[in-house]
Amino acid sequence: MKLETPSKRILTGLILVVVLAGLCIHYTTEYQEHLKYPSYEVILADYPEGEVVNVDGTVLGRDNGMLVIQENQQGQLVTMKVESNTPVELKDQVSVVGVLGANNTIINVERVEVNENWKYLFLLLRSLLVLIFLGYLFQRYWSFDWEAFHFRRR
Amino acid sequence: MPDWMVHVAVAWSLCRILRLHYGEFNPANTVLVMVGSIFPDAIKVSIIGELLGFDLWNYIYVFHLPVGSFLLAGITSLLFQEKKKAFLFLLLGIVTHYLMDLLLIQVGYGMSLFYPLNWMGFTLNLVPNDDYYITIVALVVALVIYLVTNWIESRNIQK
Repeated sequence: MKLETPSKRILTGLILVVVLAGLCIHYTTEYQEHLKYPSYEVILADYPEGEVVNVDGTVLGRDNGMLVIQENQQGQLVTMKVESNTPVELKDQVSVVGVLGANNTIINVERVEVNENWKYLFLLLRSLLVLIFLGYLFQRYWSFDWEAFHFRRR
Repeated sequence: MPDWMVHVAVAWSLCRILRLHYGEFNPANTVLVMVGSIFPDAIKVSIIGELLGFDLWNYIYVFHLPVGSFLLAGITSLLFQEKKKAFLFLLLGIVTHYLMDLLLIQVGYGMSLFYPLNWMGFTLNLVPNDDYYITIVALVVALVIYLVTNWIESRNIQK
């Protein structure tokens, strides 16, 4: 199919958007079934105590030597306590694999991965600068023809 | 994710090398590859959602899977005069993105590169998410490629 007229392109675009939306819905409903370890959704629904789980969260501090992390799970704030001596700072992001204990605790921790907050902010800053630079480069080599409704090379 | 500096530098470096043999990798099309190299990170829109109190990550995670990125590239290429070409250059950028993201350490599983056919996760678990040494390496490599390809091009012109 030739896609020269705007109406044909809009129709094709709509079909692709619908396919993409369908995949998004499919992924959201199915991904929990395919995770290596259960995460928050399963913890909140069934609380599989004694099973190995994988949770992420932002560091809030320490409580009785346990690492306190919090995650926004579909609008619900979930707080977990993790048995770990890994050095962390406030607001660092951590991902933990360990056994789910009673009262939202993670015990027998197998693995902790820490992403430091300042490094994350630095990463976002670098990426923002690149986005601005890329915008400049794009408009230098491409221009939008409103009549034909497409980009053409300058 | 490695930062966008890495993704864009890798995409540019690849195009710069390919340009020695293929004229199609001109600056305009190189920009398309560079744009494609950050397409999968359209999922980062979720950061704005997070600031507003919405957890969008899982709803649009497909953007950060090849099938979703390819669809985004397809939708975007409809806005170009030469749609097929634009799609292919965006696609090349997307492929470089996933090759770089494969290096990342993933605690949980890894990227389901063949979703929706297969959910198997892939990761090489080599580089932390927030690492900046990889940025320095990518920029140094890009600089070396710039100098070498410039030297080769000027030598070819002299011949």
